[in-house]
Amino acid sequence: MTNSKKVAYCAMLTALSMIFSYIEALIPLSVGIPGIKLGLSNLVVVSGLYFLPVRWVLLVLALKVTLVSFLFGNLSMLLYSMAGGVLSFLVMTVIKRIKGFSMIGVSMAGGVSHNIGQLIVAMLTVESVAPLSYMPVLIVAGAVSGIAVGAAAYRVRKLIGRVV
Amino acid sequence: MKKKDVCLLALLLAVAAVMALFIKLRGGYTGERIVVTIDGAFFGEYRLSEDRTIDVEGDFGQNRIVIQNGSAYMEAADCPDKYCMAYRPISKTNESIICLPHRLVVQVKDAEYTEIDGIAR
Repeated sequence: MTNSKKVAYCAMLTALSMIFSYIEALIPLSVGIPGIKLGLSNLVVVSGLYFLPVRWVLLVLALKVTLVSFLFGNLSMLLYSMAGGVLSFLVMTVIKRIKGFSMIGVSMAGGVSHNIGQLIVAMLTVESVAPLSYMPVLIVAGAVSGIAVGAAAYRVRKLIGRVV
Repeated sequence: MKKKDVCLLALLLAVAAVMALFIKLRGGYTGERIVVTIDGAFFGEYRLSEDRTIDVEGDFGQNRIVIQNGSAYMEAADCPDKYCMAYRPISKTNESIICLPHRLVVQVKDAEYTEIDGIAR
């Protein structure tokens, strides 16, 4: 893949992630638990891992987190998204290298670790282990949203795989 | 989904279930008091047996905690997300209400003072 092609894909994924975040901000998926989201924009990170070099995906992630946080959130959202994003990115790159995991498994691990990353920031923020009681709920929610995102990413890869 | 995906899912669900069970066993009984901390520092401590309204004015914003019929809930907060107001009233030990933007934690404790409270005091 040429460098200009990589830049183009990187820009496309970043733009897509912003649209996904916008859609998610428009339709709040409320399940009665504070702070649980589908994380639709993680679709671009999962997809990206399968057709871009790792450092370009990291660039997409950094751009996504920064731009989305400033557009739809605030500085503290940046901190939470960054922690969740980076941890899930690291976990997903590792899981992807282990043989026998499909995109759904990778994305599931990403979803869970994203929530764990945010929980760690929450614990540091309030300087208390009280947020830890949300861990079970966050693990399940992360797995569910991860599976949904992974299944979508799998479909996307099948469709655009021929083009890329 | 491949076999390893299913294994991972099973493992995650098992971990979540064990943690949930642990939290359930640890708490569960009716608490005596609530402890309010802001940014990790002790703010105040209030008996759950007396109905009252607590106005908390921290460095990060304002919250109003109400104690009524032995349980506590967040009545008002000037934070942007209002997640803390969505919590159900708490009354059992180790249950908590957290307002992240204001770095505020309200936690139910039993009668005995824990070591952490002793230091914060």
